[in-house]
Amino acid sequence: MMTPLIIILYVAAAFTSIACAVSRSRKLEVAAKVFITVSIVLQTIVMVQFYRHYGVFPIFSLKYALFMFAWALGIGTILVSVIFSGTASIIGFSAPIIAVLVAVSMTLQEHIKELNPIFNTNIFPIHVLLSVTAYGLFALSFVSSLMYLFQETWLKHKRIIWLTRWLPSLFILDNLGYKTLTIGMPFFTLGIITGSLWADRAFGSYWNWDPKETWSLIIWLAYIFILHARISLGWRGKKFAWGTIVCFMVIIFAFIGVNFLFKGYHNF
Amino acid sequence: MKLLVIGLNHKTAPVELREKLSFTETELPSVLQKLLSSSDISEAVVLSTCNRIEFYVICEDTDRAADIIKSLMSEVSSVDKSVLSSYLYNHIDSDGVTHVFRVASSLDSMVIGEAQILGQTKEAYRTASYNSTTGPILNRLMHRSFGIAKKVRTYTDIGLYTVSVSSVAVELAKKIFGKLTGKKVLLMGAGDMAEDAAKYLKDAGASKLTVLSRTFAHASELAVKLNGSAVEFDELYDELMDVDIVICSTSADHYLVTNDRMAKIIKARQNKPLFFIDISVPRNIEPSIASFESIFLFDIDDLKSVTNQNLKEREKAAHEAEQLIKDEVGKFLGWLGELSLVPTIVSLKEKFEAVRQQELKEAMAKLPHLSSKELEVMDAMSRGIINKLLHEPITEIKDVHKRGEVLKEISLLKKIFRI
Repeated sequence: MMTPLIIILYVAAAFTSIACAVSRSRKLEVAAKVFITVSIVLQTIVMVQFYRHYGVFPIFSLKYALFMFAWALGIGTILVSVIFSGTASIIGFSAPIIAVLVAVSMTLQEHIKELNPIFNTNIFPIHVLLSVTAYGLFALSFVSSLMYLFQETWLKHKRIIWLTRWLPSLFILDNLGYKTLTIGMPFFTLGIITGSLWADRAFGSYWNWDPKETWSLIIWLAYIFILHARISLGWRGKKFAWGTIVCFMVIIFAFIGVNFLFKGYHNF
Repeated sequence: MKLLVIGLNHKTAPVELREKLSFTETELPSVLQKLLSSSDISEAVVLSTCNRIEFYVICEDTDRAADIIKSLMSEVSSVDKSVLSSYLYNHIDSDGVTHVFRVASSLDSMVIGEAQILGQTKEAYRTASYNSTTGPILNRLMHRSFGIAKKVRTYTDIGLYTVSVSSVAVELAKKIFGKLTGKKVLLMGAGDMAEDAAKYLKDAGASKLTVLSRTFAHASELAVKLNGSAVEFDELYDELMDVDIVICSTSADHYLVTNDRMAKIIKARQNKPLFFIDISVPRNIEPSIASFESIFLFDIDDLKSVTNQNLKEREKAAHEAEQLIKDEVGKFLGWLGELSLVPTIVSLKEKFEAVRQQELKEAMAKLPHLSSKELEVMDAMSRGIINKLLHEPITEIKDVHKRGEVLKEISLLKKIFRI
C-alpha cells in the first residue's frame, strides 16, 4: 500500500531537514521540502481514493482521524516553511511527528461496516473539517513552541551557538506559536458548536457529557487560559511555549487515550 | 613562459616592512612599467594591500625576474636585498596559480573568508590592465581567480559565519528579535567596540539609540556622532523599562545593573525580551540576571567564544574551498599547457625535420648515382624513422597535458632537445 511509502517520505523529510543543522546546504533544504510535499500529495491521493470507494471522506474511525490530523499538520508545515523565510527547519520537527501519527494510524485495525446513518448529515463533514483544521493549527503551535524552547536553550547556553543558526528567531517562533493558536481557536470553537448541532440531530440533545465532549471542553478552556495569560499576565516566550505544549499533550490524550479509557458514542 | 608569484604578507613580514613596501594607487603604474621595461618580464600585476604586497609576473627565467623584482622592492623600501629575501615567498607555475586563487578566495587572509580581498585583487588587475601590463596568461589567470572566489563564496559556508564581535552581536540580536527594525538600543558608556556594535545594530535596522554616560556632556557628544539621543545616568532604570538591546562598556568597577533591581523591571516589562551585551571589564552587569527567562546576557568572553566557534566553522569551510581550488588549478594548468604545447610540438618536429634534411643531403652527396626510385625510398625511410621516434614522446606530452603537469615536462623536453 501507499502508507509505508508516505511514512518513509516523511522520515526522509525529517532527516534531510535535520541534516541542515549541520551542513546548512540549500540543496538539503529543498530536498526536505520536496519530500514533505510529495508525501502530502500521496496522503491526499489516499483520501481521494477512499472517497471514490465509499462515497464519503474517511472520518469515521481513529485510524483515519489520525491520518487526517497528520495531513493537516503536513500542510501547515509546508505552508509555514514556504511563506516565512528561514523557517524550513520546522520540517525537521513536524515531519517526525507526522511520521509517527501516520505509523500509528497504519497499525490500527479498521472495520468499516455499513455506514451508520447518523453520520449522513450535512453538518457532520463541516464539523470534521473545522476540527481537523483546528488540530492542525494546534499541532503547528506545539511544534513552534518546541522549537522555541530549543532555540532559547541554545541561545542561553553559549557553547552551542552554531545550532541557533538552524532555527528561526525566538520572535518568529513565539509569534508563530501564538498566531496559529489564535487562528486555531475559532476553528476549534466552531468545531465544537457544529459537533453539538450534529449531536442534536443524531441524538436529540446538544450536549451529552460524552467523554469526548468533556475533553474537548477541557482543551478549549486550557487554550483560553494560556491565551488569556499571555495577554494579561505577560506569559510570553518560555511560559507560553510550555503552556501550548501541555495543551497539546492533552489533545493527544483526548485523541488516543480517551478511546481506550472511556466508552462514548464518539468513535475516536 | 613561466608564472612567478613573489611577495610577502602578514604571515611572513612585520607591519613595519609592509608599510615601507605598500604602493599607493598613483605609484602602481610606474612600478608596473618598470617591470615590463625589462625584457625578461612579459606580463605583470601588482597587488598591494595593508596585509600583502605581491607581484604576479610572466617571465622566461624566474631567477632573473625574481632578481628584478627584489631590486625594485629594495629600492622602494631601502632594505637590503638579502634581508628582504628572508621575508619573501616564491611560487612558480602550478604553485603560483594555486597561490593566486587562494588569495582571491580569501583563504590566505588574516581573517579567513573576509570579503575585501577580492575587491582589492580586482582593483590590482584593473590597474595593470589599464596600463597594458597584462597579456593572455595573466588576463586568464586573474579572471579565473575572480570566478573561483565567487564560487567559493557560493558553494562553501566561508562567508556565512561572522567573526567580529560587533557582527556577532547583530547576529545574536537577530536570533532573539527577528528583524531589528524598530528596536531600541541603549549604549552605556563609550569605547570603540561599543560604538562599533551600536553602529552595526543601527545599520541592521535598530531605530532608536540612546546614549548614557557618567558625564552627560560625553554622552551628548557621542549621541550626536551616532545620531541618537543622550540621557542622564540616573535614568538608567527608566530606560531599561523600554529598550530591547543594551550595550554596556563603562569603566565602572562595580555592577551598574543588579539582579534585585532587574527583577522589578522584568515584571513591568511583561517578559519582553532584553538583550544585554556587556563588553566592559570588569563586568558592569550582574551575571546572575541571565537566569531571568526573558534576559539574554553575553559578556565579552561569550562573544569571543562565539567568534572563535565561527572562525572554526570558517576553517572547516576553507578546507572545502581548498579542494575546489585544487580542481580549478588543474583546469587552469591544462589550459596553460595547451597554450605552450602547440609551439613545443611544432618546434620539436621542425628540429627533427631539419636534422633529417641535413643528414639526407650529406648521404646523397656521398651517393650521387641513385635512381629517383632509390631516392624516394631513402626519403621515405628517414621520414619513417623520425615519425616513429617522435610518435611516443608526442603522445606522452599530450597525456601529461591531460594530467595537468605539463609545464614542468615541457621545459624538460625543451631542455633535452634544446628547442
